[in-house]
Amino acid sequence: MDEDVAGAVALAGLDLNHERIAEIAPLVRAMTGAALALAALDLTEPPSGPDGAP
Amino acid sequence: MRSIAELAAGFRDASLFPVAVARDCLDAIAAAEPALNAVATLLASETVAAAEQAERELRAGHDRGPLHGVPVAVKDLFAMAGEVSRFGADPTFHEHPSTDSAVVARLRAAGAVIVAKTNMLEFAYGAVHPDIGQTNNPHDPGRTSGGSSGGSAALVAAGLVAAAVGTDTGGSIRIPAAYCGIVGMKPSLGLVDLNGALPLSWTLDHAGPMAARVDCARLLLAALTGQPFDATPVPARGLRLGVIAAHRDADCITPDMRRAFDAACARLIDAGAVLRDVAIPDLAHVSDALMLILLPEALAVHAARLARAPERMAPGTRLQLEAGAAIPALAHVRARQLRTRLRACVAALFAGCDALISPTAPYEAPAEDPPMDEGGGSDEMLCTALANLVGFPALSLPCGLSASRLPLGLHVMAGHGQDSRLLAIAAAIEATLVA
Repeated sequence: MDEDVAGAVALAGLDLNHERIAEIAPLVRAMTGAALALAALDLTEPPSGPDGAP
Repeated sequence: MRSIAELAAGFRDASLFPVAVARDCLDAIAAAEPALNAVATLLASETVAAAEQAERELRAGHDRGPLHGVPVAVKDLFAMAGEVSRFGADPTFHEHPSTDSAVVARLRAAGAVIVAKTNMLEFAYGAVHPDIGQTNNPHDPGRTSGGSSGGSAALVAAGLVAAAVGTDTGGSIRIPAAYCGIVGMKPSLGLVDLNGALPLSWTLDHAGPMAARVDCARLLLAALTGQPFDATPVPARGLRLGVIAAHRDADCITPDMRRAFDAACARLIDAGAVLRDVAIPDLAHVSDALMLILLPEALAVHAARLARAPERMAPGTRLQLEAGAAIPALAHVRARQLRTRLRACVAALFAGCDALISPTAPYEAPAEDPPMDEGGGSDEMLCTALANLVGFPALSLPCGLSASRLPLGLHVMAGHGQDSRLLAIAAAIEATLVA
């Protein structure tokens, strides 16, 4: 898990040490759960902003 | 503090004078601070100068409208020419704007007297900076005023200004309004110009009014937008209110909040309103979707600040910004797909309802603002996040007290662009609940 997080943040341009990775891991795990829950929905709509525009 | 309408009437019949009101306001704020910790910058000399100008103009018959000479405050993320913007953050991140934000420019054009820039959670992102501390609740100084617009809410609730401006990305106007027992409105997306305001999320941020009563919020919103909002009252009788049952029945709603909400519903039914439970598909995923949008957007906004001095940020802010880097792009896109679905589902409900209601926050003001990680923040914005996600107007108004005699809030949401209608419905609900 921590390796996955480290890889993801590196892709975003952040260079976090092990201590920081461990610090953010609980929130990242919670968001991974959120992402999996959304992946289980049958979402066929196009993405949009809150004004309805793409 | 008198209402905006009372001040406006007093200034015009010469029973009140802007300069005297402004000086009283400054004295009262000085007495309340630093215990309240609501003020980032007190604009003492500017306040007197603006009040003197308002007094001269009104005497000369140059009437700028209901806010002319009225003391107000703005959250410390709206740029104000010549004044430092602190953003609830360490001095490393302060800015010194040379031009006014759109909100400040609108207030100046309306003749409002901007008394203070108000304390806020750091970058409006859910964490108190330890060097600044939280804004304490005027109803109980051992509790928070909420966030992120807590300073604005506290100044209004303590009667130190007539109204204030906040911003709201997941509930940051409406939650502190509920904790402090005032009215806080998040208008439709884009109604209030955010130019010159520090962003947190480009697709979730809104600015709006905070005031003691709905009518004051209406007048402030009119000044912020430059357009009038109809003050014609609507009767409570016949109002069709959809109760978001999943929010009312959620586990995190405290018994106090549930009792107050049920009592408010009973009074509305007694007044002739027609209430029915409504269900919104996929509502349980709203907070998750909001966070999957917010976390990467906030990182994009603050990446340079994070790179420059992460150790100068509050630990909670730094953690949330860094976690934003780990959100997969696909999850972000799916959250925006869910937003499309929810917009359609919620919009369809307004064919059969004039407004949707629920509690605002699940509980009374806590001792501290809950952290956004691991569910605490999700609970707090359970009932408010939907309106940010879909961009529809919503407000919180007082709905009774908890067993600890602390304010609780009722949340009201209308269809996109129906801000005037929302204010009229909220005024009818307010009149029913305080009758």
